[in-house]
Amino acid sequence: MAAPASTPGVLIPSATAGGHAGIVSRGVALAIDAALVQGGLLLIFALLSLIGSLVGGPHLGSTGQVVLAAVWLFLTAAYFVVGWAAAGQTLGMEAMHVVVVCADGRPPGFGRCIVRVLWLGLCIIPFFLGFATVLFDGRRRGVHDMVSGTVVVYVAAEPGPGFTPPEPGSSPPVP
Amino acid sequence: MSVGLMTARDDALDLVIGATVLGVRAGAVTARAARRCGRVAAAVPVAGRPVRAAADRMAADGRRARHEGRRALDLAIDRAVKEILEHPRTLLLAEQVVDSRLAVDLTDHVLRGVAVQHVIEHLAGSPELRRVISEQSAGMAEQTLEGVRERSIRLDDAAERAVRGWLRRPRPQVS
Repeated sequence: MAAPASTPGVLIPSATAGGHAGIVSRGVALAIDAALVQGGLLLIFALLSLIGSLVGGPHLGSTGQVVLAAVWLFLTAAYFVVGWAAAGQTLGMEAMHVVVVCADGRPPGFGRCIVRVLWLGLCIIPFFLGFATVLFDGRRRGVHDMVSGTVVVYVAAEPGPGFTPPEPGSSPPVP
Repeated sequence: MSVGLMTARDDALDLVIGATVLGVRAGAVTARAARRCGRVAAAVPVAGRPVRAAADRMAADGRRARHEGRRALDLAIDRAVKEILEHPRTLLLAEQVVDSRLAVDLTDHVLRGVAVQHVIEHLAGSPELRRVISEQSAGMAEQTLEGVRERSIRLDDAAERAVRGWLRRPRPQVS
């Protein structure tokens, strides 16, 4: 399944999980992503708010606030979707050297990434309960992975354009 | 009476001056003659060798004496400096100087000096230094991330083992 771990963009075989990333690595990656995207959005919206207050912008009603929240959520989801679809990983995943791929090893498509991010939100809402399956699933999949047909695997280095996904059909057996 | 006495004194003075001048000239002539004689003696084949040997001995003795004198002076200085440095009073005085306002003023003076400002400007504007600092920062960040990744992978396995142990559901062997 895997080439030598020193080769860039190639899976690192794990002794216990066949190269699938576990809950801690994924959690750290998600925390980094959350900090980056929420911090960035906070900065952008704070600047916009400052500019609006300087020019005497209109006061947002409840509808405006809902729209603003929707925009915020959309941008957050877009960050994940664009990262997964374009490079197989977000910045946090890149820092942790993990990448998301389809179960058969292909890079995930745009539609699959949208499904995954929607279910990611649903997994987070009940206090991250949707991630509990990572602890005992054979391929360390969360609920959003199961629904979208993806897995998260370790890579030796940033995959980027030279990313080498696992060979199709090379997934370890599901218990 | 007194005029006659003064005239006799002047005559005596003139006589002394004349004798002195004559003596000096005679001495100079004698010295020149002696020097010529020495040169001639050194040039003469029979008498030249012992004369040159004597001259060389005298020169060597002079050099040796100068060398020994210089060495004795160096030793004396070394001994004196060592004694000063090892003296408890010296340490006490040095501490007093360091703790005094003078040390602070001197440091301020040096820091305000043109040379230090030049050094600071040189260092601040040095692209090599900036490159080294940025490389070091990037290296430290990468090192930190590497540590986080390694610990996360270990925790991934540990968490999964713990949960599988509670559930009595061992991980299937990966082929």
